[in-house]
Amino acid sequence: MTAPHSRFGGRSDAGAKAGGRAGYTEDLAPPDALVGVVVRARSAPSRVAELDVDAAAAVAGVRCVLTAADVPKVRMGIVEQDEPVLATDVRYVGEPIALIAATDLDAAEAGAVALAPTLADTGPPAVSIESAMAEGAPQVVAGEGNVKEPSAVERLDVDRAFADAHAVVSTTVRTARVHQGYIERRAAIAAFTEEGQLVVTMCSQAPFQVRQTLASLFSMPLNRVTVRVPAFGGGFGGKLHNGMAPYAACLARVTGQTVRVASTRSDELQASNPREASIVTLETAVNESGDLQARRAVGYYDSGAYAVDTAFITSMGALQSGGPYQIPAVRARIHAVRTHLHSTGSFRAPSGPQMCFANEVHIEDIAAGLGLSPVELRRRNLMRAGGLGPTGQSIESDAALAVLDEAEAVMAAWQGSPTPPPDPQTKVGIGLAMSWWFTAPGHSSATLRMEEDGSATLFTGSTEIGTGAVVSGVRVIVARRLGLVPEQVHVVSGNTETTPPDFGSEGSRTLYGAGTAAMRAADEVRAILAEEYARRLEASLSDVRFTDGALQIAGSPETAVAISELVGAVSMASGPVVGTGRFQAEPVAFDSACATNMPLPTFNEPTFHCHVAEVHLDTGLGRISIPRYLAVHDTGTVVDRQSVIGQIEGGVVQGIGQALFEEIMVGENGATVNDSLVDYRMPTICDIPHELVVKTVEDFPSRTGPLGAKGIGEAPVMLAPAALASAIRNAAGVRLTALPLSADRVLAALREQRP
Amino acid sequence: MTSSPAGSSILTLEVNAEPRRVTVAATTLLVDALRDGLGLTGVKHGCGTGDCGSCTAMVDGQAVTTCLVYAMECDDMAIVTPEHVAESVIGRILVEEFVTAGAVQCGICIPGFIVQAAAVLDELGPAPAPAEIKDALAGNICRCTGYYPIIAAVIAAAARLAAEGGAS
Amino acid sequence: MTAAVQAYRRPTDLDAALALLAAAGSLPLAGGTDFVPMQRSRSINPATIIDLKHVPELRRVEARNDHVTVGGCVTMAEIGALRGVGIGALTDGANYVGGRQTRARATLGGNVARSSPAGDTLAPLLALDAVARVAGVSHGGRDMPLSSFFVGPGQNRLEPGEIITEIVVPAAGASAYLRFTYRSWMDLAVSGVAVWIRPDGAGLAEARVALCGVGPTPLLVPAAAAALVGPEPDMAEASRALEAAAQPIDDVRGTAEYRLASLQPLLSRALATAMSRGREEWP
Repeated sequence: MTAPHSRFGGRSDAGAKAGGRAGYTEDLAPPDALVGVVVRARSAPSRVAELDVDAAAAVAGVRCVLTAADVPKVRMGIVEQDEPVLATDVRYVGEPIALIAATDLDAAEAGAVALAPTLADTGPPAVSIESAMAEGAPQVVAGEGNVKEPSAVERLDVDRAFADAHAVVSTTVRTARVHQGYIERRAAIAAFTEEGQLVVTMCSQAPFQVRQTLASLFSMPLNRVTVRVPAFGGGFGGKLHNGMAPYAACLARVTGQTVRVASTRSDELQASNPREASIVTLETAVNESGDLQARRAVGYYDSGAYAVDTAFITSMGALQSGGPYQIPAVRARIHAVRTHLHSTGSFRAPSGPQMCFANEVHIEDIAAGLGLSPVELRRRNLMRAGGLGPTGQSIESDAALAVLDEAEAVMAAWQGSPTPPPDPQTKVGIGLAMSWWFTAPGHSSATLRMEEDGSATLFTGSTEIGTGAVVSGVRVIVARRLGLVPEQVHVVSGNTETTPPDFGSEGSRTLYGAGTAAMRAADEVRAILAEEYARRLEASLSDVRFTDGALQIAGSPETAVAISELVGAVSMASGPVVGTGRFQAEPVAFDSACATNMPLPTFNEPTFHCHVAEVHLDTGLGRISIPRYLAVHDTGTVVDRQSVIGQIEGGVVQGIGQALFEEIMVGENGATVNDSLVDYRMPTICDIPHELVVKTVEDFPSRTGPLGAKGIGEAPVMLAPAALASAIRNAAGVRLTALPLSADRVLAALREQRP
Repeated sequence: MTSSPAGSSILTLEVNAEPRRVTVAATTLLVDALRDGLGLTGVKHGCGTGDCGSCTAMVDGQAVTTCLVYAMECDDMAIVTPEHVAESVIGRILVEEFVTAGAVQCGICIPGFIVQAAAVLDELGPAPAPAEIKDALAGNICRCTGYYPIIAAVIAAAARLAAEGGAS
Repeated sequence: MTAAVQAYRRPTDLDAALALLAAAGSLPLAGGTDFVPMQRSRSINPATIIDLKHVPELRRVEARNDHVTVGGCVTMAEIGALRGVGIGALTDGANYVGGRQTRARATLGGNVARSSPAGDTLAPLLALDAVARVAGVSHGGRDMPLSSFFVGPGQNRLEPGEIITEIVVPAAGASAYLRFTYRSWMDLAVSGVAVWIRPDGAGLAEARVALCGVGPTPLLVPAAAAALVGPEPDMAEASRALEAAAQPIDDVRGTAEYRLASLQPLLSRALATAMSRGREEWP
């Protein structure tokens, strides 16, 4: 049988999305759904003193007004359960204090105005890391300091190494809050069915986690809550959490109707879970030849008002305290700092950009201090096979060296013929940065059902968030295992009711986890079909091959029996052909005595990365443009090349946004002042490198990932700030230690340099 | 346009080449009239301030961000939404090339890109330079792809359109 | 209820428009690119929205030898496509606004009436010595030189009910406008410099320099212009004059310090562009 080939190759969802026909969450609201709005606090810290519920309820079209007294008292949170659905004691500007449902948005917004919240200020806010750490700073949680116990690593005798050092180099960097910038606003549609099932349609990267929250809010069994994820408009970590689901569900429960709630862009920039601001200090004891002997790292990460997933993020920070470099003695202390700002959370490679920036400015500082080549200093100290990570995990390959070699070859060519600057005031510079990252562990599962016509339906709990990992990657893996073409595999995903569980599409793990589970499900199916085939043909199991939709004895096409025929026969004889696959990453061995408060103590299936940037630096205005950019990534086996390239190109440009333009700015009152997409400046099509070269290093396949694949979703976003800072330093000799590397900072540094 | 009590009016628009009636208030945005009033959800909510291009549709032959236009401003005008653009000769070519180039990841910005690209493809000619494409698409933000496959798709579509003899 | 808007009106001649605008609570709508988000966020609460785009008098562009007259509802896209080195600064400014979708809607009259300190056509219009023709129900029309039109951020000398019917832009000489933004596009000006010149042999017989983004209003700087006039422009003196005239603040778009520092390079580049445009015109 020949498979019908799709017009469009790999991605089954792309044509409908491009044609405007795909249904995203907000597209799926029934016409009669009520519109819910979240009423948010406009000053903090404060106490909700008065809400004119009667006036709001009296507005024409308003159907329901809920305050903190009317919603479940259960507090939400992944690590700490600390966040109320609606606040009475307000910690940050933008915190939800009431919910209104109405027949249309205008009525709901009019109700929100009529509610006229009166907030009694309870003190001045702490709106930055520095102000939250200052003596006598206002406490976000009364009786608890703002600076939390750190994620800490302590290995070997750091003090001794510093005391004996040839030189000690210290570097401090500061980075700003940045937003994931998904174009699809967070939204949810909730309804309770007549049977009492809570059904929520929403854009979530982790619907099983949302299901857990909703079940606990309403004291419902898990199997009475359904979370469905339709077409998904970008998340980058910002949609790992509950989003609008609790608000829509609370309003649906009280009104008995379907309620839709969508965040506004202003709310997104005021009250979501962006990447944390940070202050990171790295110190290194180094010997004469440039061996890094000991590292002290202290980080302060702005966690905002509630914990969310900061404990994981600080442990990722501690694991990057030495970057991709082998440093024997380590003392890392990465603290979360509470502020009166919206809670930060995961953003693609959480903590990655700031730690890479810190490490790479630092390594260039060390090179400058010792008079060594920055590239050679990196090479000398890179993690190699047989080395140890900061918590003592074993490094299994020389991928870091291979990645650097690949990058350096291109860099040398560029240095030999730099892109000519357009005018005499523009200087050219080339810089490099490296990092290590990982493939997140976590659980996945899949069920594979063979259909009577030989096609296959895969049920996976993971969600397609745009990367292609599910609609393309997982599908390709199943097809390859069964000798089918991808178009013969239909993937059902993003529904907690119809699919087996998954930890979530996050942490560069979607293909890794869901792909492995799907592969195992396919292997169960293979075993069933192969056994039937071998029995029928009296063949040895080891000779059976899956090719072109059929089974055959290796090298003998005339022995082929179509999968459809075997499926039918097995089904008649012993039941339908169904396979299941379960996955949980195996724990990585490490030295547990050296790690404290590290919910993530190792980098599972680590990966190594190198970016090279060529910049044109306009010395008049301080503006940076990027003629050429190189991204080299240790990907392991590439399962779906277009998706891998897409992750790298998109990550590079998102990283350039954080490097050059993006920053959530807050005023003295803690309110975001740039709460629109004109003032929160994400790169446009005119801001990208003129030429972007992507190289994948595939010689170090993953030991644990499907077909040898490693995670590649996050790392590409990490390196641009560091690579661009290196290139600026190379162009003009200025050392920049704060993100973004905006024109005003660059110009100020240039002016400082002039006598 | 006919007025009704409660400040709402019934508009007649020509939407995707068919006359459509939709009830709107004075300040109902075109994007909401299309999505909620007519069920045409190819225009997407992104920013609400004309800064992302995700709600781009054609109004009387011009690509505009429909979050900056009141529905009433379009009374008696011809609206073409992404769903309809995608069925045109140019639109079909663009959709195919966007998909082939890998320009569709999360995809929520792509209908807006395709409307805008369709609006300028003739002007760009058979072999547009990347700089010309960037100038034409600067008002559309994509957060997933880094734009490279989008540029490649428009180049490929322009060449195909020229080879296939232009739009009908 | 705060949904104050009662009605939308679409007059098709100027008299009807002015009559509607005379009513309390009426506000004129041109391209809507600022009006709509301001109304949605309730920064303006019109009772009646008067859509001016169907008034033919406001849609005209008339190019004469020595000036161009641009109707208040002419779009940035249309202005950006105009030719002529004299109004080069204006076409530069129009082409900087938003993306193409925005430029298809945004109007010159709207940009002037909005009177943002950072409006991209405003410094060009000042440098070009443009005059706004204004109409109101109580009078047939009056001319308002833009040099005295702007009084503060978002504030100008228009009376309630008055609208800008057209802008008269002198078209002699050569001009250019350059601005700084963080991104290459889709950004609002942090600071900008418009330069208009009339050459005289190798040097300049006449010049005007205007700034945006560095004060409560767009700003003409005659002292800077004076430093440019003569056989050899005195760039140092001109830059000093700009820095003396500017009153920048720190805000979400940039720091006062940076805004000041940007003026000298913007001036020298805008002047170089204007001069090269002039040379192309008069070889």
